[in-house]
Amino acid sequence: MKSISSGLKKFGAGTVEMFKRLKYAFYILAHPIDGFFDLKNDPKRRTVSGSIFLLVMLAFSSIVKRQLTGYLFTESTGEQLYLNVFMEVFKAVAPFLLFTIANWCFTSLMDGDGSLKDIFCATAFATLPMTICNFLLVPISNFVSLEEESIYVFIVGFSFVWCYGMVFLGMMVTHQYSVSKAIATAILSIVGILVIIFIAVLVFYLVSQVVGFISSLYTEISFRLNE
Amino acid sequence: MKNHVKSLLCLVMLVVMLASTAVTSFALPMNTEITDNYIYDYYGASVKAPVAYKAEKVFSKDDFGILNNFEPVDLFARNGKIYVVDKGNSQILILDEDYNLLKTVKNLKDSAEYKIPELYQWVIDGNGDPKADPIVATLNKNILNKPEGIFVTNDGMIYVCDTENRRIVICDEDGLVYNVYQGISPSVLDNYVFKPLKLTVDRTGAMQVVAYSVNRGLLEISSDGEFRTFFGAPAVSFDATEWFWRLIASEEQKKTLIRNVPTEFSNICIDSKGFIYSTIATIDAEAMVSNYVTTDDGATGVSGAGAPVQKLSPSGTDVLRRNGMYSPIGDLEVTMFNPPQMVDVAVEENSGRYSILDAKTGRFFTYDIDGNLLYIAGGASSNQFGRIKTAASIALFGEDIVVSDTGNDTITVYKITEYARTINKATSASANGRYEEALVEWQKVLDYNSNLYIAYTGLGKAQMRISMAESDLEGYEQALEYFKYSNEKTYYSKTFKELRKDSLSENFGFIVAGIGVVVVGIVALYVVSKVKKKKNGERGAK
Repeated sequence: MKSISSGLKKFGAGTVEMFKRLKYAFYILAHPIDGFFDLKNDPKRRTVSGSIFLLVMLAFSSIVKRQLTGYLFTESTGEQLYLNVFMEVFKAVAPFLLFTIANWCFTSLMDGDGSLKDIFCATAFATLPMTICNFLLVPISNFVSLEEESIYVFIVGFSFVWCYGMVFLGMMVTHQYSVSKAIATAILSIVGILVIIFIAVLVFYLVSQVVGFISSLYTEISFRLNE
Repeated sequence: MKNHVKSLLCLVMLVVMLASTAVTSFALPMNTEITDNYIYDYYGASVKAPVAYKAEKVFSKDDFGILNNFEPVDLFARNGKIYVVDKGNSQILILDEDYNLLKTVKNLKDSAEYKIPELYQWVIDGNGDPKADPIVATLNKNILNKPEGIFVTNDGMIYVCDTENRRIVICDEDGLVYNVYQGISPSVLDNYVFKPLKLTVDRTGAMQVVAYSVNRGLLEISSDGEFRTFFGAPAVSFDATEWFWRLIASEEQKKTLIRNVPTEFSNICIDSKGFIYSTIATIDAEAMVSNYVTTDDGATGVSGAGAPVQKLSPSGTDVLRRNGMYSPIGDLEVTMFNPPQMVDVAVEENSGRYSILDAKTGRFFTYDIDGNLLYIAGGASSNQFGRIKTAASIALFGEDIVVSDTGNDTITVYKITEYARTINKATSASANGRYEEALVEWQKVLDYNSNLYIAYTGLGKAQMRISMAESDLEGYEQALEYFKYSNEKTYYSKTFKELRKDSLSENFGFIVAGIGVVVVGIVALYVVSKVKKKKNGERGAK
């Protein structure tokens, strides 16, 4: 009993600590270079659980945006009737996770300073603009007519530029890179993402082949045994 | 014994025959009958639809007491009569409302004030010298010779394109001639023989003529027989690859290249406001597909080369509205290798509704003034009743649609069904601003075909107008729902704007009060926190 209550207490304290640290994400929005530097080097700032929470919020915001966007800004009628939560979460979060892994692969070879944890935290904190804009777009899309579409389009574009800019700055600061080296690493990271996707598809295909082979072997043998 | 079997067989056959007649008399009512009728939904996919027009009678040469060669190339309806141009027998048939033959115009006579002139025999050759054409001497000026087109004015004057006699004849129903236009030569063309095919006459008496081997548009001829100008030539698409080949080709090679010229009009008709509707049969298929065939969503509102139907303003530009989910091109399953062949167009004056006739499929497609497809009828299948082999001309005659067929040499009368009548009522109510009536009629249309998306658009537009007059917020909400059903985003947006404006002005007081409360709250919080800080500071100093 005691251990459970103490565990709960620990969890509660940890959650409170996490939210306290998450306040720092808003500081990074305004001061990305200083902010990302402190995020990496100040152990009081870094929070992996907070980063996971931010990615969860990103996924949540993209689902909210998909479901509650005004009719005028939906792509086709009835698309909101068919929601696949896993697909939406994957679509929202996968690019950033893939970037984290690809970036870590390259920067550990290119004497980057950041560990995998650092890169993950920086990337997750950099998604905050997109989460904010997603939440912002829902009321706007319900209050804007097609003639004022440019407002909506501008915010969408702005969220992307801001978010990817933050990812770039975060990576640059975390690894202590110069701008030119950061650009090169960014391009390499994109290539890395493509390679990872390619390998993933390949593995998926191979596994399905193997599974197919074994299952056909099984049916063949079971037919022979039944003869 | 054998006799018994025979009589039994006879009895069975009798019963079967009786039963079959009973079945036909118990057939479904006209408007709910399901055949191969279809319409396109807002994705452009074909879906089943009720029958809009049903073939009721097919007239052939026997009905008019003609022996042979009956070839109905053009139809024209005016003043409760329908005029049929019989090219094979070189005559005009005039039918009354019940399609009984009233009169035949074949022989032409001098009227009291006008004598038929000799046929124009001169042709300007390449050197600019006039030469007498020997064929003309063999022709008779007092009969029609293979006429192709007709127009009738409100006072009953018949304008005939007397094609092989190279003239336009104005006569009355008795064949008394009041004027003849011939020898018209647009100066830019060498070796030119004026052979008029189709024509319209506007309010000033000027004629717009489709003439043989003229591809610069319509010839506009003034009422005193002067050629004025070419008019409304269809746009030619610019082809980059062809331009490139022309750059590097030699003179001989250039001659073998196909000249990129605008196509000829197949038929024209004019509405009371002076707009000329024209169709093109030999369409530039590539341009049509790229300019007018849409992929997934939204219509291309452009008016460029390759439009099978145009509406020409008096200045000659195409002003046809193409605001529907897809452009008026007939069937949507067209490709570059399978373009439509639009041969005629007919316009309903009050609502601006028009029907275009596709000779390739024998179907006619009716659109409203905005270019929304309303219904499709007809159909090609060699010799079946109510089907068309080679469609030639279409006319709106009262509520009927009459189509002439030069393949079977027949005239088919399509009777309107209650379904199409309701759609027509609804569109004309919408077009003429009778929105309450439009609401009722579109609702009736939905009772017949609840999948017809334009009915929801119609309901939405009518509801929007009514709500705008009363600034009725619930009405706006209703209109928004209708537009959602028909995926009509433009009008949804318009209605939404009105709704927003009206609801903002209605609740203006509350909004201002709310903003005031928020501002006061923030200021209060700020002051309180300052006071607290000060206190804390004092305590710290102690």
